[in-house]
Amino acid sequence: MTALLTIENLTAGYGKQPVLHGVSLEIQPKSVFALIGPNGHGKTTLLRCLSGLIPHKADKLVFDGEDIAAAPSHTRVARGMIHVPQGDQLFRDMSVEENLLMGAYLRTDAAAVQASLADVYKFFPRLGERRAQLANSLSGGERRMAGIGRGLMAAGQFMMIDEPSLGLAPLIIEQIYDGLKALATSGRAILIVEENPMRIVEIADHMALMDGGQIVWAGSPAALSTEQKIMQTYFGAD
Amino acid sequence: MEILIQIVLTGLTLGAMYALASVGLALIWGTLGMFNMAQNMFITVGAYGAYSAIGVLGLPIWMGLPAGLVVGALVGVLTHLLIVRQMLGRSNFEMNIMVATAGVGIVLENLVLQAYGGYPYRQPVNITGSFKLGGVAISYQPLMIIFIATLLIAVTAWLLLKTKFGRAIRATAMNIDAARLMGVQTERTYLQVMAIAGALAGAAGVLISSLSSLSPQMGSDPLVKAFVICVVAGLGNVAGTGLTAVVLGLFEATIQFYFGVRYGFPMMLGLVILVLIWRPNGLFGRKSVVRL
Repeated sequence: MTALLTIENLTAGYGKQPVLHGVSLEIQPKSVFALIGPNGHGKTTLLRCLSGLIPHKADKLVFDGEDIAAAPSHTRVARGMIHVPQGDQLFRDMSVEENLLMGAYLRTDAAAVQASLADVYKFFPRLGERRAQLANSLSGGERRMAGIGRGLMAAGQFMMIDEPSLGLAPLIIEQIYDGLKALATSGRAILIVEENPMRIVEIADHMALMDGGQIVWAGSPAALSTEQKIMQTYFGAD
Repeated sequence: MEILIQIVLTGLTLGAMYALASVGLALIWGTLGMFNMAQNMFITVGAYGAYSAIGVLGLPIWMGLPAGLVVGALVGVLTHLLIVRQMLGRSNFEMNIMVATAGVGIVLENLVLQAYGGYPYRQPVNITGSFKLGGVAISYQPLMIIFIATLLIAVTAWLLLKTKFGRAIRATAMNIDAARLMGVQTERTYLQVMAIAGALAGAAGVLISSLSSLSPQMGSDPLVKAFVICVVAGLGNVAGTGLTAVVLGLFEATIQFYFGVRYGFPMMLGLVILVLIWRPNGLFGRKSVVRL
């Protein structure tokens, strides 16, 4: 099977400080890939590189058969690479509906956009109830839903979701993960970044562990639980 | 009653011109995070653009305002392409760009002086005549100014609030990274903002000069007042800026009438100081920087 996204030896950093030291990954179409690992080791930076927000170098960066190494962010979005950023990054003084419509910024078919809007409201009924409210008046869980919903509005074939459970109460995390489970069967490829692997193992097809700006382990969720050393070092499991 | 009508009319006229001059300043601040010190010359150049279109090229009078809009937008676009774009994202941008745009202003002012001289030309874009209301003679010109300024600001507000184009501008102002993740070409958004701000300032120049006359320095006074208005409203808040402009215009007109013209501006500054003591972030400002 041809990979949807191929990354070979990607390096990047902020100023002179290197953060990613040669990351290589392959994401298969219609699969869920979980990137896990401790905070501050390059997971978010990798996503920001993939969406073109920060400069990076790579031997190979191919998405859906096209070389995107030099493509600016709007081109990547247009090709269907959608990034739901950490901490939601909503447009705070816009209504929920305006935020969602921004997600469909590059789409020109008004009827299809309205259909997507209805889908998102069906997917997260809470957003429908809050559609006229300003984004900065939402609760943490609602913000997360709006962030993911805004990503869905782009109707891309590949979604990168950064820390969907960050800063949420356990009950809300359950709700968000129920949503992600439903997304996993929607035919999109999904790359989820999480610090803690416990919830993600249920929905991931492939996993990779990132530490110090490198992939230090990759395999299936089932294989991870047998890796005692990794579980102890990174996740404090006994 | 006659006095009241006069004061309100003068105040609204001043307010309308101030609003037009300030909204562009607020828009640029809110989106690019820069204080545009060349705004005075966007105003002046717009006025001379209209003057040249009518007085020199011999176009019909109604072409004056569009000429001011176009020339203003053009200057805004050129300032962005030649100066702002080169400096965006560099360290110390906020301070450096003030110096750079002040430089643009000085260059433009001298270019205008070189091309037209210092002679106070009359702005040909003007309508004469008046009518009587409650015993007061009201000329058409101030009414025209209020109408045009209101129309232009309403169109701008509609663009910003109701269209996809404007939504992209507001998105860029609120969160540039997120805007780029939606596919917004933020470089292009910046250019559009500079064009809109230039066009509004150019139109303000045409209206301001129609009441007084043309001069290379004519934009300085409106710029200072526009800056004051932006600070009082809370930097970057476009709707609040428009409202503040009208209120301060009415205030200035009242003071001018009862105490004399020369007290208008000092009293206005006094009011500003009081407002800022009361609300340090401006009337419509919030603690964190509010953008649009």
